[in-house]
Amino acid sequence: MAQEKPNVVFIHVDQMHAAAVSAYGNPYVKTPNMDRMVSDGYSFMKNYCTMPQCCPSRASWYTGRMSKEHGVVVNACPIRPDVPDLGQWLRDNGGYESVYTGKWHVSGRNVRESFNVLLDSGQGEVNDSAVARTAIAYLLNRRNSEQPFFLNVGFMNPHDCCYTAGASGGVGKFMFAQEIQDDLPPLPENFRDSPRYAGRTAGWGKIGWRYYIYSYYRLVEMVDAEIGRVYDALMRSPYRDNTLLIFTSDHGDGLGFHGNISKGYLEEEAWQVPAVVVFPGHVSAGVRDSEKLVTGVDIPATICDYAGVPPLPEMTIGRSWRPLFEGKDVHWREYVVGETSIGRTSTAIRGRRFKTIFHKDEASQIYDMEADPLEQENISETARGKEIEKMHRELFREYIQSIQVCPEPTWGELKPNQRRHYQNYLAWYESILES
Amino acid sequence: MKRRDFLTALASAIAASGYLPLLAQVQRQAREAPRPARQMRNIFTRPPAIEPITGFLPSFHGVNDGSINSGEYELTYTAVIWAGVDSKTNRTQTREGGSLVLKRRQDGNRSLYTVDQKRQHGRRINHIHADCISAGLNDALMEWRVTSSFSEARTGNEIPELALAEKGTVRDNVIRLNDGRTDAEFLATGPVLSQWSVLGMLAKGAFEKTPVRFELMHELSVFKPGQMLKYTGEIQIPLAAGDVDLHCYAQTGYGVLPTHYLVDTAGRVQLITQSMLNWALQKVT
Repeated sequence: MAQEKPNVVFIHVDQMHAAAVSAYGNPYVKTPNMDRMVSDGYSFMKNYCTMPQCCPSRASWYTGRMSKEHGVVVNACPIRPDVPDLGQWLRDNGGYESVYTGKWHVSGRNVRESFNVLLDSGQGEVNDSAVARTAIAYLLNRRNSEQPFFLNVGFMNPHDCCYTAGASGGVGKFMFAQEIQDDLPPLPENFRDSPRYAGRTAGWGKIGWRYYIYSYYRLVEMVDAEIGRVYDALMRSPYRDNTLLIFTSDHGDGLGFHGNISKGYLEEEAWQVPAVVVFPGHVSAGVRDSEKLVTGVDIPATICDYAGVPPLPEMTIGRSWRPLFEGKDVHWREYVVGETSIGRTSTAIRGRRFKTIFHKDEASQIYDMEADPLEQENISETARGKEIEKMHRELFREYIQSIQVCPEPTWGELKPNQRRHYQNYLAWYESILES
Repeated sequence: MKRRDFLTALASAIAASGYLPLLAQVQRQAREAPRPARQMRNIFTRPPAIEPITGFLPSFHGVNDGSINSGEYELTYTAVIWAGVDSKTNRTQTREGGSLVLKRRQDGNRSLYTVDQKRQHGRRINHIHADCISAGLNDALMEWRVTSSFSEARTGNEIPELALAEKGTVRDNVIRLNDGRTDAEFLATGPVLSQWSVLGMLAKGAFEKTPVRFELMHELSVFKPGQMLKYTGEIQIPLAAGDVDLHCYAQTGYGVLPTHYLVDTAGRVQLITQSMLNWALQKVT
């Protein structure tokens, strides 16, 4: 009997800046393989992770819930044990073979509970090539053609940039920068001295920053080459025309924008991430959608829709992209939300034009994303800014009312600082609702 | 002037000119100031080629015997994986993560390579075996077969569903890679090398002063075009038995972090450093 349900291949990378794709116009990085996916598929140019850190964002992909719903408030905080993940859901409700290779990093959830694991995670330079190899072997050697599969390919790079940036002491060969000065990309237009990462970027100077960006783009290319192999294997396989492929990243990287590296904050460089969908015959090729606001919890909603299984339970704001691909006239959301509990407890509202970053203990930041896409002019003190803040505060309240806020955990053994993350946002969200 | 002294002088001049305005000051302050237990400081290692393996070098003796002049030899390397930085010594910490055995034989005007690379990835070990035919001054690839298998690290049992076998050719500047089902094709604009045949090319010492542009078939499966290998001079590095002078080559290009090959006067590539994954020569026969 022919297989009716489509296969799903979910390829994700770690810490990829949304603009680090040559097809999107970046002249300083070459990504021929991601470019092929862009050409063959549908790109969302306004895609945002639910929280710009590994575990919370990845937990959102696999549960359909926002970071203040599934319990993974920051890395190492454990997921709610009662929340099913997509691997279990497709396996138990759709008859899928759920397979995983590479980086998982959903704290508190053993990937082996939900997936057949081909290879565990490791640093990108050390492990990504082997991850690709296992994914390719799986596609080539698979014998059961009647059971649909849900193959997850988790690459680590460009996350290796954390090591070149001195996160653990620096492996960046920064003194080599002098020898390749002509090859170093320029600093971003909104680069500035920033106290946020002053410790980790101490001594870099402008040439050090440019070398960091140069190295980062080489790591993007490193993973691009591996993605190409997996993509080739899929596109040359019998599964080509019956497989939904989704590509994205868990969060972005500072890349020198605003003087930032790494992630954890809600400026665009850490919060916005690429999203490309390829499904020959079902999803139009070569589309770059700059209008629709989408987010990480939409991915499991989309997968469940195509797989013909019910949505993950208690999925609140995630929406399937399928009606968009099929050209249906649907009312789409007016804003997306991002949350963080790293450093500051903050929530961002990104509307079609304006963006507000609310902080629990500091004044808001408000930007006109059409006139000021690099977020250089905070308009919070202007009359227009105050109007926007009032409007976005109402949306913030609406958002809190529409999600099922995760209470302080009774599961797992939390350290005092981890408990404080929950206490902080619970108190803050309570005050927003009461205001 | 030795490369090391040149770079030291250059860095100082740049710092004095304000280009790295706080370099010297920050380094002094970092050395002198008390630090919280988890704070790490940036390392600006000179020469940069050894930055990923500074903690490994004091125990590395290098290989002083075993001639490769005939073009027929067997090289054994160990994988040296970056594993953090010791905050007291500021040296990188490393662990061993695999092995590489590379055999080269000459057959008329062709070079025959046999490669066995084993690396552990968590609970599994990946074994790559390759047989390649190369030719020409730079040992450019002509044809090859490569197999990849995974086994459980604990039991040694192979996992058949993860086995791969590919064969490749380079003809008329077209690389064809067949996985047993279909072909992938790539256009080459220069000689095609694997990272293993780069070692053979360097052993010939033919490019001491000239940049070489090539296309890389990484592990004979991953196409990475647009590579350049440049001789960057002689550097002195500290090894177990004392300081040693080595010739340094730097490779840059698509999909690679700057990769340094440190070659002795006999043409033996003693060390290869990229970032996380590095290699150290153990034996030449």
